[in-house]
Amino acid sequence: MRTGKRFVALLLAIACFGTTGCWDRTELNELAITSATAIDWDDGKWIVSYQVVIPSAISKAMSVTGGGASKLPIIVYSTEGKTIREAVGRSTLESPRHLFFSHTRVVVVSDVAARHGLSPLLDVYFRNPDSRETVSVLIAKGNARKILEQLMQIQIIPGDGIEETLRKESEEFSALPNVRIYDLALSIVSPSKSAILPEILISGKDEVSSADALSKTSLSSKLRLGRLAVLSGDRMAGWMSREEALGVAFIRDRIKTTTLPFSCEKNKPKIDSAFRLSQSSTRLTPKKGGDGFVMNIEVKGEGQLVETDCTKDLNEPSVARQLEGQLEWEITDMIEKAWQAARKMNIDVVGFADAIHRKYPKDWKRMKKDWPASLAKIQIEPSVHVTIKRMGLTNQSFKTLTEKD
Amino acid sequence: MPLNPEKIGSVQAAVLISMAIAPTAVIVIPTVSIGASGQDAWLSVLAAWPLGIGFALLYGSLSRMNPGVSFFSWLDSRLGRVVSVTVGLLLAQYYLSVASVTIRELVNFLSNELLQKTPVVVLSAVPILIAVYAASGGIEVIARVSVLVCTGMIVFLALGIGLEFNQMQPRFLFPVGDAPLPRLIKGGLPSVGWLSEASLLFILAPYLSKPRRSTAIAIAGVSLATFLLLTVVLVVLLQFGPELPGIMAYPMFGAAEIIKYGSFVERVDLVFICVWVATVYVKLCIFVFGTVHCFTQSLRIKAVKPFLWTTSLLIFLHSLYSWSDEATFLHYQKSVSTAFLITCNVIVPALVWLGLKIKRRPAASAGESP
Amino acid sequence: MKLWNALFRRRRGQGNSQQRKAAKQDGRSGKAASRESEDGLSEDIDENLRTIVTELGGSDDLTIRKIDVSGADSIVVAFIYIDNLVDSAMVNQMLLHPLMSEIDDTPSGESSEEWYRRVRDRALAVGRVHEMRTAREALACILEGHTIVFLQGSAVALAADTSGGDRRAVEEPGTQTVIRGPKEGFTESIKTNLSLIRRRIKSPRLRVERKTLGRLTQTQIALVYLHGIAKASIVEEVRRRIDRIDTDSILESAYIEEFVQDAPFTPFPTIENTERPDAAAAGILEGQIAIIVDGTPFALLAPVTFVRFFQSSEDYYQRFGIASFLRLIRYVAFFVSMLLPAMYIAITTFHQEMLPTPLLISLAAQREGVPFPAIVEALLMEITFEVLREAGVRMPKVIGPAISIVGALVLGQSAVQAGLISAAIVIVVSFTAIASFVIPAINMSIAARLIRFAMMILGGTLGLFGIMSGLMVLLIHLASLRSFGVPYLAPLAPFVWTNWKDAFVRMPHWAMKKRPPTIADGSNLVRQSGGQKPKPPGRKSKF
Repeated sequence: MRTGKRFVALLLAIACFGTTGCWDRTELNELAITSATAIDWDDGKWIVSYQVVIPSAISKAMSVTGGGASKLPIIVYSTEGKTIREAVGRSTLESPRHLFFSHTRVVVVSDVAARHGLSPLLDVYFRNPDSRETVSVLIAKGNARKILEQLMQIQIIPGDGIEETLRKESEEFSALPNVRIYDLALSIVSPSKSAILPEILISGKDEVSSADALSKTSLSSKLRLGRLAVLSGDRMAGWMSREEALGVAFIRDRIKTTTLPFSCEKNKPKIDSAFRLSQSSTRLTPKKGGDGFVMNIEVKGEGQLVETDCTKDLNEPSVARQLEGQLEWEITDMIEKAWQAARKMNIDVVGFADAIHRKYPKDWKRMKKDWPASLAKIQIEPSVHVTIKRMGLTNQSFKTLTEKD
Repeated sequence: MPLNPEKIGSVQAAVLISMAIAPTAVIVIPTVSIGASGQDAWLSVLAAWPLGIGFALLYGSLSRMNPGVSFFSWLDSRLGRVVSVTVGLLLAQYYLSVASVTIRELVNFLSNELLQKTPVVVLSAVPILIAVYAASGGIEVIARVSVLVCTGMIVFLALGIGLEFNQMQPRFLFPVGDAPLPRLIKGGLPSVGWLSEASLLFILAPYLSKPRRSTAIAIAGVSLATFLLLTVVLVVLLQFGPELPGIMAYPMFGAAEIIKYGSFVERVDLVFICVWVATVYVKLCIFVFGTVHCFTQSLRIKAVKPFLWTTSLLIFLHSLYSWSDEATFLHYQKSVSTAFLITCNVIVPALVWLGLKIKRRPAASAGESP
Repeated sequence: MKLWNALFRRRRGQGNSQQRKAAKQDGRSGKAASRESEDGLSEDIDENLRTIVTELGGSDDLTIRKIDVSGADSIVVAFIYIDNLVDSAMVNQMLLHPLMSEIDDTPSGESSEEWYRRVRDRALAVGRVHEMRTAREALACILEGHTIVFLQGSAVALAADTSGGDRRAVEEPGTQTVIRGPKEGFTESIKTNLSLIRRRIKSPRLRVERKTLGRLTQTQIALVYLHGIAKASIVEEVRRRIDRIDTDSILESAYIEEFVQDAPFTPFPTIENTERPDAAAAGILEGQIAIIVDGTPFALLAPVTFVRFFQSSEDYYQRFGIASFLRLIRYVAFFVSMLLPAMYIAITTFHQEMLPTPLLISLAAQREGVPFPAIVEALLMEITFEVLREAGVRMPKVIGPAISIVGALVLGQSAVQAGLISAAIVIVVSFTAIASFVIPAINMSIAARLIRFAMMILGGTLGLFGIMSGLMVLLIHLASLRSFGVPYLAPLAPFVWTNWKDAFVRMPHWAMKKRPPTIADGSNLVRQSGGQKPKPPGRKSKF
């Protein structure tokens, strides 16, 4: 009977599903969830380190093996190889579980590896489906593995903690950008052929990598974000200080919010006020002039006064204009310093190439080949305009009360 | 039966045409186009649109001459048996080829992105079985399913754009007109090739409930497909700029991969992948149906079911074994595919159209010799 | 149908049920006495009585009341009926009593024909009275609850419709309860059910067509529809399919459903059933045809589309905002009950990257030390739950609730604590089960239950791609289903704009001006006039 035959065929087909097993299946308890990786380069070998999460130490759910509150949440180990993925492949020699990179938050690259060149790393991330391009990249001076071994307070998983710190920083202080793999790739292939990466370091003595060290109210050493690393092409070329990094951020229009200290009187060295810049936009306009190009950097910002020890009458509009003038001077100074640093390194960290490419495509075609030389000839014309929108809940500084009789 | 079970509405037909073009186009064209034309890739796609409309006009006028019987029986009556069988077999081979390319594309994608260890045989067998099931239900079932899937695709495309919005950088589109004309053409050629797939209209002609609107249907279908393609190319460009997509195999999903809001909405590209897989299934169903239809109609075979199974088996084997590895397949996509598509979709119908115009209603069926 | 015949070696029935009743062969038992029942009744009353008693095998519940007024004119009358199939009070007061009076009033010397006419026209005080000439008709009537009156000297018997007896009263329907709305439900008596519908649709265009199905059960069924509103072709199709049924027994409307449906091998129902007369009336008013079956309170409604199974009568009695919201929840619940375990399996074993990291770590911690892989765990729990649910249905009411609490909570909790399964799967399975109860039509939620298992296997072998393929197959299947010629996915798949007002949301009553054109007759679609949106009176402008 035809229906009978069809039914049998269907049953056989379904049976095939079951007998051959499920090929791509991995149970949750066969995974080693990696929250951070570190890349080191040692004399022709790549050393890849993994910070693997131990779920039962973190989760509050009931687990069979019994919750050990004193268990550490992570373990770190490294493997090495001539290529990055070879090193990863070798991890099967020592790990009982399959390394799972999809939840990795950060990849820490040592500066030695960065000087060697980051294109193998980028290729690995783009080519493999299990590595995600949303991973944040950081540079560490010296040994990158040490960064992974460091424990953190408040945030149990250090990898997540580093990423959260970086994210908050790029939103609240904006000096160091949160650079993800695809941002890095876009920067490197853009006309500027350069990139910037934040640095992470351990400040203090004695690393914190055991439970005892963690059980104090104040740790002997902490993970901290540091300077800005500058890359030319895919190789690291140098460092920029944090102030210079802030200037670069201004030029590149990457400021979200930041807190600027300034002095309320001109030519007074004492810094007594702080301003919280809540909105900022920068426009780069190249113009032909001088020896090459003149780049007009127009910065517009507004924000709120958050602290002042100044005795001036803040209610007066002229005083407000004065303060704004001081702020503008500060920002201009930062921009100038950043530009000088970029010129010294001869790397287009500030993104001028893009602006010229868009406005003067024909000239760009000529200058493309010898861009660093042309870069040095560019002069900048910063024009900053800051508005103090709000003064806060007090309309005069507290000092005015103490200085009165 | 209250409803005529064989007729499909105009909207359904237009959606069918765009579903025959869009799914594989959106996966292949961004890479090729952006790699060739840089940030003007969207211009090259836009330039392909009028050509697509030209094709649509050709197909529309051709199918309007059809009095409502299947394309091949009509050709038979107008131009003779030999012509209709030749054209039929040629078109059957074309549909078969495109169907196996589609499966191969899908399987390549799945093996690369999702299921690396699952054997390719299994991954190819599942879509084929589903396509056979759909094709055995007839074109009307496929039309209904395609409308639903197309709606889903548009909804998710809109959703994706909304989510990716703050990662888009308009500066990537400028300067406009940077690429030299030859490269623009090189980038636009694949789009033209894919748009010519609207020749599906011939197969649909006898099933339309309003055959007078054939041209409008074809234009609508081509335009919808172009719009989808343009959107995807723009989204990819705005996210990744002009250089990166050239080396990425699936930039559309790369764009979805980088969506990240806080720590909750991330790694959602799988949802978009699922929607896209559904659209590829629809395309596959359409082309398997097309293969069987061309084959059985041109040879006037009554018992369709056994041929359904055999042609599907043929498609299955063709997709597995014709291209020994991915490099050969990519080479095929880049070079031969466009020429093949244009030949089968444009040149052959153009010749048929010419032949019909020349033949001009043979009054006493006198000049029937091909 | 072929299979059925082949198995039971029965000839396919022809013609309609009336003919079949007349040409009835009483099974294959071949009683010798059946030969006689072909013939007509005799004039001798005793012979007739003997025929009837022998045919019924001398059943004890057969009551014969013979009135023999001997004398010059031998007036012998016999009443014969089956106890408790008749309304005894009616028999006594409407038949026996008047007949006794008639006997008193009869002058002597009347011929049998006059006496027969007198009895027929003046003594039987009931609404329906037939004449019968064969024993077979008489038997059929006795079994329906009629009282047969035999008269000495007359070869024609009279059958008076006195059907009654103990039936269930009209109560609240057991399933498909509502908070606001009528609380009457259908009962097992076809007469009561028809009256419940007639009370709601007082139009002369309401047609009731009676049929009898089932050789041995002789079940009465009725087709109820509105002439001019139900599509004539669909009515014809329903009639044709029902006439084609040839079987021993029709005990419930589900038997008819299985004989008559478009696609026998689909898990999805293509005929609706309801226990509520207001739902049946609403369906009839939209152009559906109701099939009422004697012996069951569940009436069938055909043709039906996919979206109707997600509509509950209560949607129309509550405000349209909440009704729309709840309807959307039902659709979500349908997909949840079908896909949730499969998605859980697929995501935790194939696509772990989709989970947010804290959730992943939680789940991973729970899975430490659990012996079964996710798919085995899920299948185990699902089957356990189905067992618990079946047990709950069969449980006597006194211990029912206790067992369900024991089963769900204690079993689940203990299993988690013993480390046999992870806690997450308990949540998934329970939520799935609860979601499946949200769907108003039980036959649709059954479909989801069955499909769930297939989806789990697909999800466990091929991950989300497998689930996607399964959904695609489902979609193609639904798109190819028809219910009496109406496409199953009607408002969606052949896109019919007017139907959308009642498909996924419920527009207010004043907005739904037309009947669904896929079901109702196309020439008569308008059901109310436009412009009836309520507004407060007067007041042109507020300023």
